[in-house]
Amino acid sequence: MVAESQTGEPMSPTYAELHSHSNFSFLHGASTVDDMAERAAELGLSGLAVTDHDGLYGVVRFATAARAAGVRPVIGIEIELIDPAAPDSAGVVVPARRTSRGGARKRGPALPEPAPAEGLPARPRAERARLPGHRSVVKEDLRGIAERQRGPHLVLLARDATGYRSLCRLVSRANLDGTKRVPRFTHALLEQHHEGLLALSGGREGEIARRLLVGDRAGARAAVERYATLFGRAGARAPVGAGDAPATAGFFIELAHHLLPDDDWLVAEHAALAAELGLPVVVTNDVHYARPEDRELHDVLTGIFHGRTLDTLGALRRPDGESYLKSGGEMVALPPGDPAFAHADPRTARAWAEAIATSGEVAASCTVDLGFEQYRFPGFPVPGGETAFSYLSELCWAGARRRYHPLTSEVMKRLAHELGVIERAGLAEFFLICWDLMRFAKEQGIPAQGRGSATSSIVSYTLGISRVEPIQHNLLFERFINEGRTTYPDVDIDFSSARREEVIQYVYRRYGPEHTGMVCNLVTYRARSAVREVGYALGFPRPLVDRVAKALETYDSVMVRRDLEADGGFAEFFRRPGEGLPAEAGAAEAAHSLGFVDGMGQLNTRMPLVGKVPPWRQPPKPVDPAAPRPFAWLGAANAAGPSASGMWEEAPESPPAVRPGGRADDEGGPGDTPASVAWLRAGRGTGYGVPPARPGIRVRGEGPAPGTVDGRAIDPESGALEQPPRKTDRLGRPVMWDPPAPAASAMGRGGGDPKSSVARIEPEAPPQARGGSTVGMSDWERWLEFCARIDGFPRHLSIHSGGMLVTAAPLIDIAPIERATMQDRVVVQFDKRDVEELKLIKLDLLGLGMLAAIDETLQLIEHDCATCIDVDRMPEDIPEVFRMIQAADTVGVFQIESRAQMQTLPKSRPGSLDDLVVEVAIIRPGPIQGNAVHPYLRRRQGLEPVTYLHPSLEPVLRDSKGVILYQEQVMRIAIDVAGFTPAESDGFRRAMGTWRSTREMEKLHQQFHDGCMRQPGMTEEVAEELFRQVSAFASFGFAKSHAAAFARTAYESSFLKLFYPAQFLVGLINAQPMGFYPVEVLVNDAKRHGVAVLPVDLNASIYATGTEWVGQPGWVLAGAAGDDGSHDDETLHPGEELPEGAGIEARPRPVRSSSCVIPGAAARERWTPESATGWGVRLGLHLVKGIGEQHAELLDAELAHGPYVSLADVVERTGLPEETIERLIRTGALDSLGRPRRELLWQLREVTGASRGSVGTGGARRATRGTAGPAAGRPMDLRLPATEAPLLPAITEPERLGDAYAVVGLDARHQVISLFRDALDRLGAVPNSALAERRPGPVRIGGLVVTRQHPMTAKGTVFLALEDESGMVNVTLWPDTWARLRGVVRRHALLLVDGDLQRESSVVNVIAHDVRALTDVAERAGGPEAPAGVRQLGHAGMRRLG
Amino acid sequence: MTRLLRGHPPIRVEVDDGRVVAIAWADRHEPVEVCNHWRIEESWWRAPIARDYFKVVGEHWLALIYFDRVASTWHLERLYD
Repeated sequence: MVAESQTGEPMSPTYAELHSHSNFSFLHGASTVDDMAERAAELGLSGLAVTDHDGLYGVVRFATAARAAGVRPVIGIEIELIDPAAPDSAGVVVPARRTSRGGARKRGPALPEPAPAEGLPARPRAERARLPGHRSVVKEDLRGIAERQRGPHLVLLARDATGYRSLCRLVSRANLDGTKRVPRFTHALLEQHHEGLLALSGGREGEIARRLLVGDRAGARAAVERYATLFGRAGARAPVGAGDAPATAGFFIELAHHLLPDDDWLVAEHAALAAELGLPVVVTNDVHYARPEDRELHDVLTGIFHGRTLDTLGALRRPDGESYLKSGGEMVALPPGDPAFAHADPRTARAWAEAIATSGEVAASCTVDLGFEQYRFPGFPVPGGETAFSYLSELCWAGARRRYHPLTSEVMKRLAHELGVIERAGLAEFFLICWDLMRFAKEQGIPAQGRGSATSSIVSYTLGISRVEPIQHNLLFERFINEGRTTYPDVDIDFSSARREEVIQYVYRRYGPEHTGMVCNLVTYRARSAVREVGYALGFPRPLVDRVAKALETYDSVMVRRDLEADGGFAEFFRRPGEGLPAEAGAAEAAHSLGFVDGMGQLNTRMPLVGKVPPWRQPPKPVDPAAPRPFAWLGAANAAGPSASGMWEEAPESPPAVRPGGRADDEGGPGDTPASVAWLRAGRGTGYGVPPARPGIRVRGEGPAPGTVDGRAIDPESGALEQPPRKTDRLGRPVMWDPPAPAASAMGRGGGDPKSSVARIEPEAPPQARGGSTVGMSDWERWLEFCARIDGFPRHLSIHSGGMLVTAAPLIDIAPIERATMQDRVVVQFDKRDVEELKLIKLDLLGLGMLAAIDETLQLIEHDCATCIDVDRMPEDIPEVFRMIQAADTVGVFQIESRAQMQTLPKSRPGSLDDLVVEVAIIRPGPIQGNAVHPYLRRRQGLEPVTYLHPSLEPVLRDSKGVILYQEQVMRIAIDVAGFTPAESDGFRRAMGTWRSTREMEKLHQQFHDGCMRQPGMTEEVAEELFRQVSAFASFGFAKSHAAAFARTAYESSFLKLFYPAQFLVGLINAQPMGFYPVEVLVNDAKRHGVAVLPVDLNASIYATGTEWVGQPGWVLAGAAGDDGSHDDETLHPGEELPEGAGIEARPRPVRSSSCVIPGAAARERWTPESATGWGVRLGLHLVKGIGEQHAELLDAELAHGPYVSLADVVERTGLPEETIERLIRTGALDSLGRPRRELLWQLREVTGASRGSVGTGGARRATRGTAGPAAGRPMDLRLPATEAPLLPAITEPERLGDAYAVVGLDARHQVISLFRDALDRLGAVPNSALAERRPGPVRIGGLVVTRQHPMTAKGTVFLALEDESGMVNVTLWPDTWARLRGVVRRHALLLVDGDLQRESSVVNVIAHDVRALTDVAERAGGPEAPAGVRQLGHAGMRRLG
Repeated sequence: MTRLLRGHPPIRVEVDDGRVVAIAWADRHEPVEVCNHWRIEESWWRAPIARDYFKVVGEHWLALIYFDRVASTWHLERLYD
């Protein structure tokens, strides 16, 4: 049936692809939905169905992309059924295969259990291993299992909205019946949910094809009958394809031809079967990638999926590259459409032609609209007689009366205005839902605050959603919501991270589990995962892949190339031949002489993947005895003299050290294995690049079609090697091209300049996937290319950190759900973006560590000092707090603790909460890129006058001293200066941020410009400059409402840090991971502020870190100290004695230095009870690796039973494994047993060995620790004393420190640098605390790197925070320094830095010129040899810094 | 009994409208009919192999021949006696 156009002329068939996979098939599809849609449009397809495996992850994106491309989207899935449609006794359809490692299980009719032999008990069935907390295995191991060994496929397409609902239900049900990522699709389920669905037979892996392929024609027929009955037949119709069958039929036989050996036959069989049963047929291509060349990536993905290399994939790969998106013309040109075929089998040929047209018709008949706006609100129960809106306004007015005294007309006007907008937008329910959540949190005492654009409305304020008063802080309502806004307002609510789960559970309860789901987060390939998985799949040895992955700084897989090119260790692999090192000369010998590694990471003597033709890929026996040995041609070429490029001539004998970092770099760093170092060393000079152009390479365009006459002889082009040495593959087939002709194969993207695919990308070119075939690239090039191509591919799902979807209709009618890893938690298969696109309502319930920290701090204060602090009613103008902030003494404070913040605080000197709002907003990419930071700081310091581009800007920018800092200001400029409406201004802001299209930007630019010109006194130049500033700001800025909410929290945390440092430290440690600094920095900072930090002690520490009374300092007891620390030494009370191991020598007195602020007695009297100074911190057992939350209860209970008296007691009562107890000993947690550490370590094995079997006593507690085995009869069990330990040397201080750092990552007593202080003194290094007093100029410092930053905005500059025992200092490495010293800085955490000291208004900065590893330098300077724990710091540091 | 031809010698092939109609090898020219055909694309990461295989049958010969899509040459791979 060929469609006819209106003019009556036959048109070419409008083909639509109905069976295709995108990368949402998770490693089964190699193109994005955007690529697929774009390609479909290019090919002129009328429609495209993306039918990903078992899920609807990509449908929203696909529908959007397809509409944008002008292709009709068809929503569908391909499911894998677990049972056959017709009886399958032979196991043809559902083949038997191993279901778990190590054993095959027979499918089909269950065999009777073998009767137990007489007298013997029945053998218990082995249980499958299950992870704790999971109801079943997480994921079936499908590696190495081909598609044909799995269940039969079936393609389902949604005909309409009902069909979409069926799909959602089907997927949801199958997922809930199965385990995570292993849905169970059964025919029973299909029978329940098939309304509105069309089914296609599933191609070669469908049940029908499987049966036909083994000759089970009757079975195939039965299966077809069953499907046709289920999905519906067309009305009475005789010949195939006649009439209007497709419009009514529900089941279609799929014809597909992939040029496989039996495809002709299979198509004919399918067509015959369809004709017999009167069923319609469609043509599909089971597409797995958009373009032919994507086939290569598809193979790599298959390798990743199966955990194999390309070489070992074998039949798991598709044998040819025909699964790309084809046009109607290409489908017609396949053999069944061929005239020759038609001659031989006219019936099938006719069916094929008709089926192509039917495909288009089927696509046209599918109409699914993914708009769910009408379902978005779950309905909020309101008291009788009220509507949602009347209830909301009642709540708002009540809240306003409570919060505003007096209730001014301004407040009333604004509230009335906002309520009006909310009513018109129909958002009352949305606010009620948020209000309800906050109400719940308040009732439960869960710290919570609204954030984001929500905080700018007075409605949010009166409802208690936000804590920031919008009128006083000049917050713009239109930023949050306006009538022209098309997207949904977003409300983010932060909850204490420790208690967020309670709120989530509440939402489930409130709206019912069927209306509530967590939004998923698509985890995509990032740089490291891409490098690793692609590297393994391409067959690179594991140690090398690990090494490369570790060398990456970027998270962006597209930038991998840039990173590796910059790294001294890898740069040369990407060097163009002739650019640097000699190429292959001597590589083989060098490689053979070194121990190398094979694909399993084992050392062997085989040559790894180097050059174009690795030796193990050479045939074992060359056909020709004279054929060259591996790499012999290199030698020959070398001997023959310089090649065309002449590069070998210049090559020095041994490779020069080109690596900027010098030789030390390839010694490897922590984390390197000997194998990876060997690799690197040998890798230099092996020239992984493309071999130099050799005579004999033929470059061709696309080969002629198979139809051309006769084979042309291999054209031997001129050159030294007239006849290239023949290479043969394992099967002895000649490989006539040598080396492979670049882009010559038909797999390439249609010819083009063949050289372009070989040429290495220029370093300055923007890194991106180049597309096209990778044939002709070197292994390294190919690796990077695939990393770039795989970037952003979805890898798996995780739960979004807080997005909850709440809907009116049952969720499974709107969105497919599946199991999450967490028990009993389901997650929607749509992510945040999809949900927005669908215009559904989403609540962002986020966990904020700082809220948990503040909450715990407040509870501790209440407990320790009997003082209850209400942070909501805390005055906003405590001068001591601002003095501390101005001194940049903000380690641990929310938002303003970062390096960049600490550098600006002394300059901006915030003195009020509004200033703090500025401070939070200013250190953001937007203001930094808009060049707003320095003008603001200078104006703030009075170094330059505040000016405005135009007087009309003054009211808008007065708060921020004439610079643009907030998104609100952009909008206000648009409204007040350029005359936009509020709704337009919001669109303007968003367009600025996203640069959606040049045309749109031009339009807005013009509108902005024209509006500005209407202002009196405006000039062209000023209008242009204003537009430039506004567009530079883009969307990288904070909304002021957002900054205001954060500033409030920053202020509260500053207060707590200043007056309750011990409690605050405990709050911070227990809320980890959070914030900018590791625990070690927080602890050292607290110690500098006079907080005694007590080490982990099994007899004193509970699981969590807590406070401990340590006695009060003298100046509190004497009450004499002023706020500035001045006091009379003679009258000073000595103070209460510090406990042993308090971590500080003495308590510091109140100070207000440039870096440390400790309030004196006068300030404390106003804000704290006296006892607050007497508390120290006891580190908790949770800091010790190996002790987790599961031990918390037991450890706390055991400590309450009384102190541990001996090692045996510890082992017996805690039940901890030997290695954890060893860690406890090494960290000093068992020092309170009164025995030296070495003795305890000596005894440990004996003691644990004994009690692992049976413990003599223990009473009821023993029962909880599992069953005891037979008594071992060892000394412990018999209550005999432990073997006497020999006289062991006492542990030295360096050893102690090393152990402490190795086990808990910090030491309560000393900072690690104190160990090197003598050596540092000898080397002339100054302590960090002395830098503030020092003249600017050359300086040498030593310290531990606690953070390392590469800000995107700093253009390659790297910042280190270097801490020693006296303080922290910022070290700056300019890009060239970083390039030179990268190796050292990345591999060592303890550094000795030579540089220049700079000081600007008390901000100290060291510009590094040279950086060395402190451990090495100190050792040479006669200093202490670093103990193992300290040596490993380099590694630990690297890990900590990611 | 088949003969696997190690060298995969180039052969002459006559093609009419996309169909293989005759092959010529070792001084012998024989009209043939295609009884099966398929395509393989292999080892692109090493040395690409892209071939269209044809199983052809003539009066004397049953042969497996292929068109090398990289080099655009015809070869004889196997002869069935």
